[in-house]
Amino acid sequence: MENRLTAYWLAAPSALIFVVLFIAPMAFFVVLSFWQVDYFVLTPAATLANYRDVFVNYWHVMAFTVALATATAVVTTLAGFVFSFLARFRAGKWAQALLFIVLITLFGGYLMKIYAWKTILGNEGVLNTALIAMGFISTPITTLLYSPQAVVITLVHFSLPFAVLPIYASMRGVTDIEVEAARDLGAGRWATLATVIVPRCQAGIVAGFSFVFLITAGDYVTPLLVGGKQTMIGNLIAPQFGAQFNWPLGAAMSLVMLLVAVAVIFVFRTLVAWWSRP
Amino acid sequence: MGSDNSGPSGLTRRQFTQAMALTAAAGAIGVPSIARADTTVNFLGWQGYDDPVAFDDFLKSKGISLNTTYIGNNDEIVAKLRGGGIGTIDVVTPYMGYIPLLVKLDLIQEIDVSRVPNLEKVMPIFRNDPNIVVDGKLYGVPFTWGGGPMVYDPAVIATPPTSWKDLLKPEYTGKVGMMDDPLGNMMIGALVATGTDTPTKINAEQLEKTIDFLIEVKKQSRVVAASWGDLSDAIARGDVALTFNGWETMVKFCGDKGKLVKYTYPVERTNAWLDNYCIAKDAPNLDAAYELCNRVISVEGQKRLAEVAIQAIVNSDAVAALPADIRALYPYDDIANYGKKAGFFGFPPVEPEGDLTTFSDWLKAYERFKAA
Repeated sequence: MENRLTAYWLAAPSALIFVVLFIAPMAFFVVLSFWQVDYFVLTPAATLANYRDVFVNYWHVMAFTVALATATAVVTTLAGFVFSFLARFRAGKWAQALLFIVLITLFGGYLMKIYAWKTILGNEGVLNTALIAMGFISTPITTLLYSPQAVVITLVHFSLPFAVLPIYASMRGVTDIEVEAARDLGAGRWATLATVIVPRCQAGIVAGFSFVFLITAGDYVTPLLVGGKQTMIGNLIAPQFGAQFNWPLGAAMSLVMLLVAVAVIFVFRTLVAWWSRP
Repeated sequence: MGSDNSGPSGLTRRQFTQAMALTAAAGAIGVPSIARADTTVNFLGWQGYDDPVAFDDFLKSKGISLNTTYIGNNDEIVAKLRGGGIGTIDVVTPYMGYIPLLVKLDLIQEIDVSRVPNLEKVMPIFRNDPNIVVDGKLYGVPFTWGGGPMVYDPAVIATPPTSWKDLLKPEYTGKVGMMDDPLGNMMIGALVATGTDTPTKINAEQLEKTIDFLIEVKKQSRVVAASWGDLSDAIARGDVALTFNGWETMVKFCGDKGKLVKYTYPVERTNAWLDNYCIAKDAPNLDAAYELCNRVISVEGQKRLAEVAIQAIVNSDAVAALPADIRALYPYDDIANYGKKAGFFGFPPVEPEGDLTTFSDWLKAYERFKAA
């Protein structure tokens, strides 16, 4: 009994942090999402109007956000997997160096990367200039910058470390013996990858996908700067807590988006589990 | 400077002239600095707007020191004055559209013209702006201004369009750059879509038409830029060739990036803004506040503003003393006719007024443009 009490006491500080920083704000937003604003004053209410607003007026922005975030997360997870695979099984003593490079890019700064891509993708950017100089095209490809593709490219670059790190961590748990056993039992390279390595890295793959999806779905700076006129849901949520002063609508948008994100991650996790079934 | 990105504020425009307008408010108001022989003036305004009075030893020579609090948007002026600032704040720097509201709320006082002799040098178009004169009394000392012309790249667009509507022509598809400036966009949109002369006074149906027009322009656009710097960047890098909404100062921004751009005022006109020094009601340091008001429109103060912050100025003697390249940035030579190109429209109603749409209706409607 005493042991149990001690355990509770020891867990109390983290429980407190969890409640104060995660549960309480979330609960506040849930309540807020049923309120309304009358001439810049938050007024308690029990209205579903905000949710109605979300589904009637903003569903297409939400759908676009989910599509873009899913595309980004899938591409990034694949790239992260390939990178981790090379680092774990092919790079030998260079593995640490490769990982170090991944970590270094985290220090590069978020805005820095966005502006770098603007320089690369623009009409007079590095890529178009090079393609024209090499004679592949005669006029600049205008869809490189200020397009959904530009947003995906920039976000993949930014979020790659968040996919690499958990996937590599789980891949380190796959021993050479397991791989050799699979090969001894007659599995080819692809079969080994599909039936041994991927299933053993399930947790890392799902974690990497989730990180990237959540970062992307909530981002509103990248679409603003390289997306041209692309609007993601974050671009509409942020002003609700600023110039628009409509916290209830902002809260409703956030909560709906949160639920959608959880659903997407759940579907992805189920797919990975199905793939990895014995 | 109401026609800026962040609603009634002007944050984005200022990101260039005064770096980031961090609202380092931190309760500085009402807490006088440590007692000293000097008069300490409490200044509440945009970062950089204190520079024309503070850059040299003028204040020192008058025994004045400045306690500045920077704002992030014009609403803060109202909020801080109402929230206990009366009696401690001396000078505020609102956009002209806010002045009628500040007068109505009894937060600022009439300017005694005899105590601001430099007002005589202020060009009449600014000095007599109807927004800053309420019931025949002057309530602000206007010191800087600007407008939203159509900026274009003459290398691509040999003859610029004469109407904002021309932007919808197929030849401009994908070449237009917009600015994410709610108030400015909606005022220009209202001028074009409804034909009104007073774009701040429109009803719900007109607002609808305004947003419909903005969405049409958006379809033609490649980018809805987050700031004037980003829009300048897009045109300087050849990603867009002409703009919906703009700022005269973009000529300088693009010039710094090695790109020659020009601007034109379409026939429907555009919106313009005018920022002021105002004296708060019950300002504790009235004499010193007047010194500041007079200084900001002096030749020295105005030249400083024009040459360092690249802002447009109001004192005709100072304009005459500017270097040619700085002078060429703004239409000073034909300033008497500026009203035919741009209007100092002010602000939509803040509270319900007949069938007119309010500022919050506008912000709500703008969401449709954003989501489109």
